[in-house]
Amino acid sequence: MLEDGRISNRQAVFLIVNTILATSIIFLPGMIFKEARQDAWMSVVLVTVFGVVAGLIIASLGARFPGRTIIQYSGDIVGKPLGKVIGLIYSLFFIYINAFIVREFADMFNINFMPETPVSLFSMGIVFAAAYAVRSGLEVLARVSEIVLPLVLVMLLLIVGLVCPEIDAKLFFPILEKGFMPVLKGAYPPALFFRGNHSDGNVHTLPAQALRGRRGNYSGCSYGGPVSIDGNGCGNRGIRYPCCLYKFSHPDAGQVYQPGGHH
Amino acid sequence: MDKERIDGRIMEPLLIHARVAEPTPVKGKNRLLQFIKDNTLIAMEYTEVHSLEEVLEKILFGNTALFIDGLAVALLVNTVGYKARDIEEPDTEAVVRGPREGFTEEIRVNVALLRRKIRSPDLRLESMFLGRVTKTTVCIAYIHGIANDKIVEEVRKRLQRIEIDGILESGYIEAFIEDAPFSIFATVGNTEKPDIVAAKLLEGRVAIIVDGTPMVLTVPYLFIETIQASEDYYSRWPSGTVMRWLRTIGIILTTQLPALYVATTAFNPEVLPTVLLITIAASREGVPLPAIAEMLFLGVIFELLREAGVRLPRPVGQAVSIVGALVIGQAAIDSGLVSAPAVMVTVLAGIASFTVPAQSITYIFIRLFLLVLAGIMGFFGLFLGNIIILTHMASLRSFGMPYLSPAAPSDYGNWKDLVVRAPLWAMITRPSVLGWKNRKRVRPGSMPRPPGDKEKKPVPGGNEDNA
Repeated sequence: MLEDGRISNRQAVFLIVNTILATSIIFLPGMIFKEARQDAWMSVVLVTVFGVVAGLIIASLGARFPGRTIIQYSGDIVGKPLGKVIGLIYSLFFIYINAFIVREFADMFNINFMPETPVSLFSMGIVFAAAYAVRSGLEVLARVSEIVLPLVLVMLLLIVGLVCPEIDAKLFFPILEKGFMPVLKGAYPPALFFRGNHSDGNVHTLPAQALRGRRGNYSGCSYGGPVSIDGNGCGNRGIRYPCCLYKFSHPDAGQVYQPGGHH
Repeated sequence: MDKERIDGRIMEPLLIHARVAEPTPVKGKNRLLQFIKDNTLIAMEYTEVHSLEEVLEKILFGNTALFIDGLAVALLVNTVGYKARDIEEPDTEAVVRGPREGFTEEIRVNVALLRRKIRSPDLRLESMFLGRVTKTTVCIAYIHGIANDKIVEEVRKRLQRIEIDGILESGYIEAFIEDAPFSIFATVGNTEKPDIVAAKLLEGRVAIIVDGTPMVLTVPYLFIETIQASEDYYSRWPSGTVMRWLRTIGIILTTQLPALYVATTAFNPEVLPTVLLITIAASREGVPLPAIAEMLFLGVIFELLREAGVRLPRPVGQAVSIVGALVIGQAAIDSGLVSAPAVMVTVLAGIASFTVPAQSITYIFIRLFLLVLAGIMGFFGLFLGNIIILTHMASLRSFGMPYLSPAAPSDYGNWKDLVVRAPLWAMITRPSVLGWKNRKRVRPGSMPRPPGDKEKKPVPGGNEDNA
């Protein structure tokens, strides 16, 4: 049964953070570490700054074109033909990012838990679960994320707390061993990933706003932006930060799972 | 039918009092009727009926019809009376602290019990007769001004839609008004205790009382109600909170533990610490069954014993549990059919389900579902199963209220009665999912504090001496 898809701003934030968080925990640290080595924490700071700026841009766009998605208003900004191209890229981006997340998830289970099982089983399983959730509607999806996210956060904090004694500050040195370039290179992939998800976040928040507008309260439209920054800021600083710090300062940092590579 | 009342209140006045009574001043055809009305049916409830059908119907209720020769009218006298069970403590919902009384099978007694708890003219009771053949009295109870009118209207509508030959228990009603008939989760609550119903009415819920059963239905029924117990509120708040956490752990254990056991032993034993792993492996040495078969086998035995213990008379039931637990459990381990950890896991999961008596069958379903998935796909299956169940729960609604609220959609203001059982003076408002009007429950600032503490100003309208 599809519900009418009315979710609150908080639920939207939960959805965005949930989308970003999994990749931030499992996937990105390995990517950043590959390039930036012991200076990875600087990359993280850089990405945070970049993320907030990107979020601001998209949020202000969202405030300027209330109730419309990026596909709808891109034509107004850059002209119709180019807008169509942006819209196409944007739609493809979602297919890409979802394929990416499905594969990421399947790989994680395959490598860590059941190496002899074909990876397609995990992909099929998670796609089935996702299809079931989507069939139930946006509201249900938002509610599930509201239950799941606090659980994930608690577990994450638990892990961080348990490994605290293992943190060795000496592993931060030498600082900037090979100059600033590796830090920038390390910041590149996550920056791309997060920028994508900022706009993704706006797509989530906008329907909620459109609904509020219909009920005659346009003041709600102006604060979709801050919410999406808030969500991503939370994802960037509050959550990713400590866990990255842990991962980079841990003696086994080289063992962190890396995409497409051996671990 | 009440024989004494017929003898003492109808027959005796007719045969004896009528001889000494003054004749009525009314003349004509109705003279005798008026005479009987005035002089014999004193302090009796009666109605005049003119059709034989109505007479027949009312007689079946236990009324007495008085026909008078020559008149096309019958006097129906209320002599309804039957034996009912006394008010007892319900076996199913025993409490350590709190009222012991439970509902009975008699709807008038049940309504009186409820009225005694809530002495307000706002407690509204609407009765109707349901069941083509049984004509059972069904009563909707709610507190006007607290309950959401839309919910009351919806309950009324759903009840009026019922067309069935007989209503023998409130379960018949539940089957017709629940929101998710195919779900394993109940979306209508039931209880046997007046204090619980009163508390739910005060929260803004609606109760449905059915004649002939002590089980009273309450709607909307949300998932948190399975971990709430009346004692949480009667005992002090820290113990109420801890008991609630224990019940939550109970739900998690009873649903997840067998599946976790299978996933670890059969698929990923490396997640266990080495010493524990060796102990489990040693006890599984020589066990012929795979872990999943072992768990299914033990699970079926446990449920068989439980069911047998419930159905049998109490002394025999105890014997069954002892034989089952000690003899079968010990023999199964000794004969090497199952391993000791598997028995432990099954029993722990079973015992944990007793901490949340409401919906215990649901947990058996979930346990089985997760167990089978874990047997096929290990941790991945367990994960998948949990996601599917969570999504299903999130998609449920009970009379319009999201089933998982106030956890999802989250409403942190109402977490005072979810994660913790906040002190009563801190639960200032009623749950907002249920009703939006008249939300105030407690006067703000009623926290008890030592006398003379003037740090906080008293609420306006309080004691004027402090001003």
